[in-house]
Amino acid sequence: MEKEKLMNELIAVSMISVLLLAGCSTTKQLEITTTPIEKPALVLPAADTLNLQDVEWFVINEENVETVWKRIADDKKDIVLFGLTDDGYEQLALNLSDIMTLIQQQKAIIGAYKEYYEDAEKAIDDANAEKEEADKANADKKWWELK
Amino acid sequence: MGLKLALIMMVLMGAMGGVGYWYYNDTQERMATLVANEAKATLAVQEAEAAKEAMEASYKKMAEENEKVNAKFAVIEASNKRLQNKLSRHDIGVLGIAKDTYTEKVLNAGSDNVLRCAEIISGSPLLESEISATKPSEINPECYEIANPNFDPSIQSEAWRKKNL
Repeated sequence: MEKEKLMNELIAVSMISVLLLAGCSTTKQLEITTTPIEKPALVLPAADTLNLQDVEWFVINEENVETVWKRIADDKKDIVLFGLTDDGYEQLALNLSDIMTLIQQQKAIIGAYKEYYEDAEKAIDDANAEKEEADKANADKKWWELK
Repeated sequence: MGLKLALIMMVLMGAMGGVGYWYYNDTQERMATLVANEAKATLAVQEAEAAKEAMEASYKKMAEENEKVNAKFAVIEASNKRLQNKLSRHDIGVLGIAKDTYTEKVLNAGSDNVLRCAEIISGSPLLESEISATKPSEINPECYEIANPNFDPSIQSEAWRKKNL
């Protein structure tokens, strides 16, 4: 009889303990935060800088042809010339000028793209930061604080 | 009879209290929803406003970049035209027959200048002498716009401007 009473008391104490402990526990709300993955910056190698070789032009006419041959021989160069007429020379100069114009135009376009997209990226980042801040400020408020 | 009346009154009062309690809770809930909706709408308007501003800024920047590129193109075109003018002003064939040594010097100097222009375009740093050049005799006449930042063509002599601009 005494033993049965003790058992009952033990069961009662353990049940109360379990209830008390369970009462103290809390269930936390699961929080999931997401952050956008930033696109890595494009890093490209710089183009080479030109270091051009000098080019020597010879002007040859009927009068000075012998002098020019002698000059070439004196300079210990091969006695040969690759020629252009005056029109050919002008065309070569204009072609080179056109190529340089194109390179400069391309450089200007690339520079403009770079500037535009870097600025646009910054503006988007700023707008996103502003939005995030506003969202966060509102999320912390109770309904009666909203307005 | 009095007891019955009291009972009916109690039931009625209880019912009215219950309705009142339900009405209060319902109204509070609606108010909370409406205020939250208003806050969300305000936020949405703010966000839309920010997006609109960002778009406007982008269009403005686009127009600016376009203007800059067009201005650069005009300078590049002018530089290109200068060579065409120079070649059309002189008949190098006639010059080459009459003054071969002089023509050779001019062509070689011009060639050196053009090659230096190509180097600068490719990113080669400017030399001290190029930076400090302010007189027509010191500049690279083929591309002074990029080679000689301190040279001001607008303050040069009328003869020089007529020949080069």
